[in-house]
Amino acid sequence: MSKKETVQKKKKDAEIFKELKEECEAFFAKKEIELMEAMEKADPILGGTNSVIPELCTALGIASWFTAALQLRAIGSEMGPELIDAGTNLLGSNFMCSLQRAGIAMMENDLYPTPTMIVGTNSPCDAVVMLGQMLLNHPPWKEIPRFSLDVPYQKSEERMDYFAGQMREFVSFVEDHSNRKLDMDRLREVCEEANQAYQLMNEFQELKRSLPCPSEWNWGFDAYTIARILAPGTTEATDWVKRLVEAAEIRVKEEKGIDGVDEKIRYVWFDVLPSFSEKLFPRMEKEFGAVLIMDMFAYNPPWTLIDTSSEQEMFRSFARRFQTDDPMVRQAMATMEMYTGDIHRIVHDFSIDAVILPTHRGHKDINAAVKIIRDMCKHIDVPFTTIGCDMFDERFMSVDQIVEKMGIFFESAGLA
Amino acid sequence: MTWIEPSKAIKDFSEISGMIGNAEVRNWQDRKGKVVGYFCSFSPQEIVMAAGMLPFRMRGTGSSGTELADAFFSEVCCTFPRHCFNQALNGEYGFLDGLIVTNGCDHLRHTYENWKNADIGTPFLHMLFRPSRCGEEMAGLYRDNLAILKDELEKHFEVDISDQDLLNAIRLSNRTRKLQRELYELRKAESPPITGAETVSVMVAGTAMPRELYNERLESLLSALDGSERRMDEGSAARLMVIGACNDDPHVCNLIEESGGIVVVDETCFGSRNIWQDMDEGGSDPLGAIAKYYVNERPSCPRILGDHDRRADWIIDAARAFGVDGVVGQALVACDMYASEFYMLKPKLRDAGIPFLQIDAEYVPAFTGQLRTRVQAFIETLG
Repeated sequence: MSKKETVQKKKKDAEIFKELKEECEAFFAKKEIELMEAMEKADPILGGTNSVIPELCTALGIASWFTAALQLRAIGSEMGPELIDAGTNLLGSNFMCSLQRAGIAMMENDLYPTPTMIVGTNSPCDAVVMLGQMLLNHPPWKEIPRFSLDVPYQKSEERMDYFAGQMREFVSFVEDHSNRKLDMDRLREVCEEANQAYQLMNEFQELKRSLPCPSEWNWGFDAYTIARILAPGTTEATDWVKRLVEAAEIRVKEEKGIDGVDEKIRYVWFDVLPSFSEKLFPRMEKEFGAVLIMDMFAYNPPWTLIDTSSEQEMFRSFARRFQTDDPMVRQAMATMEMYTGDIHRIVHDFSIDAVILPTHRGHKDINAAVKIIRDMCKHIDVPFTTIGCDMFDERFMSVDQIVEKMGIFFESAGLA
Repeated sequence: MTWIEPSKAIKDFSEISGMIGNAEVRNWQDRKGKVVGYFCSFSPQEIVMAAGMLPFRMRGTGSSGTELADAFFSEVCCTFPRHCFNQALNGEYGFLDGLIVTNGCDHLRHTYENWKNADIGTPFLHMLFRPSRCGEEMAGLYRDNLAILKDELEKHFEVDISDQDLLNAIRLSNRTRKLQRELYELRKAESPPITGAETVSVMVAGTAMPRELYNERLESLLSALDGSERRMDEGSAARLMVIGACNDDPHVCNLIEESGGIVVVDETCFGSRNIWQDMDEGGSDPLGAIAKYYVNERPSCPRILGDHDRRADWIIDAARAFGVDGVVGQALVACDMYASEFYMLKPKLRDAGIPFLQIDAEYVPAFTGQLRTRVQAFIETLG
C-alpha cells in the first residue's frame, strides 16, 4: 500500500468511528423522542430493571425503557452527584450501589417516564433487584400492572424451559396490557434482524484478538447499548454494528491499533464501565500504553443467536440469551466457575497481560469473590489487581487516584 | 425498669444460643450423630432431620473479628457472612459434617463459593437454589432442587430418606412451630412473662439442638411461664416489634429493654417468620409439601419478588395484634435488601399510624452507645 493510500485509509477508519460516535447520540435521542411521544399519545410504555426480551417491544411497536440505561445517562450529566446524594438521603444509607441510589432519586423525582407496565427480575444483583421492587411498589405507580420474573441459577436445559415458560407469561402480560397482539412472524423477522447485529458483534470481538487491538475502550459497550437496548432488531442497529466491524477491520488489515497509542499492556476490566470512563481509559492508553481489551459488557463468549425455527425454540433462545449471555446476569446467576471461566478464556484468547477488577463498592457479589479470582489469575500467571472505587461517583475515588494505583500496579507487575 | 431473675429453662436456652459448639451439639456428636449447617431459614431443615441428622442454623455468635475472612470478602460485604466465615476459617465450625447454602443474597451466595475454595474441610457442601418468586411453578422447581439435595445427602451419608421419615420430620417441626406460637401468644399479655431478648435466645436455641429435646424443654418453659408471677417489676414499658434479617443475638432486644421498652413480637428470620404457618402433614408427597411451604406458604423475606405488600400487611397486622407502640427495623450494614425493604415499608407504617425506627448495625454489636441513644429517643417519642 502506498503512503498516499494509507493516509486515505487512515482517514476512512477515523471517519467511520467519528460517524459512529455521532450516531450513538442519535440513537439515544431517537429513544427519548419515542418515549416522549408515547407519553403524549398515552401509548403503552414498558419500564423496568431489565430489558427481558428486547426484540419484543420492537415487534409490538411499543416504547420501552430500563432503569440502568436512563440512570447512566443521568449520572453522566451534571446532575449525577446530586442524584446520588438525593438517593442516599432518601434511603438513609450509602452502601447501596450509587447507580441504584441515583435510581431511587430518579423514581421519587419523576425522572423515569411513567410506564403503563412494569417488569422486575431477580437479577443481576441485590441492588438492581431491590430497585425493581421499589418501582413495583412506588406509590404513584401502585395501580400500574407489574410482572416479576424468576431467573433460575442453574444453567440446565430443564431450567431453561422453566424460564422460557415465564417468558411466555411475560409476553401475554405485555399483550394484555398494551392491547396489542404479537404477530409471531413479525417477531421472527425482528429476531432475524437482531441475529445479524449479534453476529456482527461477535465478529467485532474476534477482531480484538489482533495485536495491536483495533478498538478503543468504548466500542464494545456502545455496540451492546445500541443493539440490545436502544434499537434491538432494527436495520439501523445492524448497519451501525456492520460499519463498526468495517472500521475495525481496516485497522486490523493495516496492523495498527488505536490512533496515537503505543499498545504495551492489554488488560481486562471485568465489570461495568464507570461513568467517568471518558476521563479514565484514554489516560490509561496515553500514560501506560494500556488498552482495555475486554470489559463485562463487551465480553466474549459469543452471543448465541435466536433460533427462529419454531416458536418454542425462540422462547428457549430468549431464556438462554437472558440467562447466559446478558452481561452481569450471566455472572450473577451462576456459580463462580462461570465468572472465572470467562476471565480465564479471555486472558488466553485475547493475549491479556493484566486482569483488573474495579471492585465497585456497590457490587457486593464481586467483592465477595475477590480471592477466588485472584487465585485463578495466580494459577494462570497473569497479574491481577483490585481498585475499590465507586464506578458512578468519582468523588469517592478520583480518576487521578485510580491512574496512580494502576501505574504502581503495572510497574510492580513488570508491565511498565 | 428491671426484670425478675429469669427461670432456669431460659438460662439453659441462653447457654445453647450463646455459643456455636454448644453442649447439646457435642452430646449429639458423642452419640455419633451428624450435624449439617444451613444459612437461611428457607432451607429445608426437615430433610436433614429426616436423614437422622441435626440441622444447625449458621451464625457468628462469639466472633470478635473478621481478619481471616477479609482475604475473601472486602469491607463492603455484610458482616454476617464475614463473621461466620471467619469462624469457619479458624476452625470453630469444624464440627459440621455438612453445610447447605442458599442463594439468599449476593453475600451469602459467595459464602458458598468461598467455603468451597477455602479448603475448610466440611465433608458435604451443597448449594441449594430457591426461586425468588411465589407460585406453583416455582414450588415445582424448588421440589426438584430439594430432590437433588435429598439424593446427595443420601449418597454422601449413606442413608435412606423415606417419605415416612420426611413426614415424621414435618410433624416434629410443626410441633416446634406450635409451641413457639404458644410462646408468642404469652407475649400479647399486658405484662409479658418473657422478654424479647429471652425470646431470641429461646428461638435461636431451636436451631442449634436436637428438635425432640428442644420441644420437651420448650414445653417445660411454657408450663413454667403460663400463669407465672414473673412480671416486670415496675412501670409500664413501650411495646415494640423488631423486624429485620438474621437477628440471632439478643443484644438489640436487650438494648431496647434496657431503654424502657419491651419487645413483644418480631418479624425476623430467626424469629416468628418461621412459626405462623404449619407445613402440610396430610399429603402423599411430603417433599412437595416442604417445597410449597418454603415457596408459597410461610411468610417471605425481601428477596422474594412481588411479595412486599403481603409482608407489610403481615407486619402491620402483627403490630396491631400484639398491641405494639412502635417498630424497630434492624438492617445489617451493606444489606441492600433490608435497606430497600424498610424504604418501601416506612410509608405503609406511617399510614397505619405505627412509628418506625431504622437502625443500621454491624452483625457483631458495635457503636452501642449511639444505638442506645437513638433507641432511647425513639421510645421517648412514643410517650
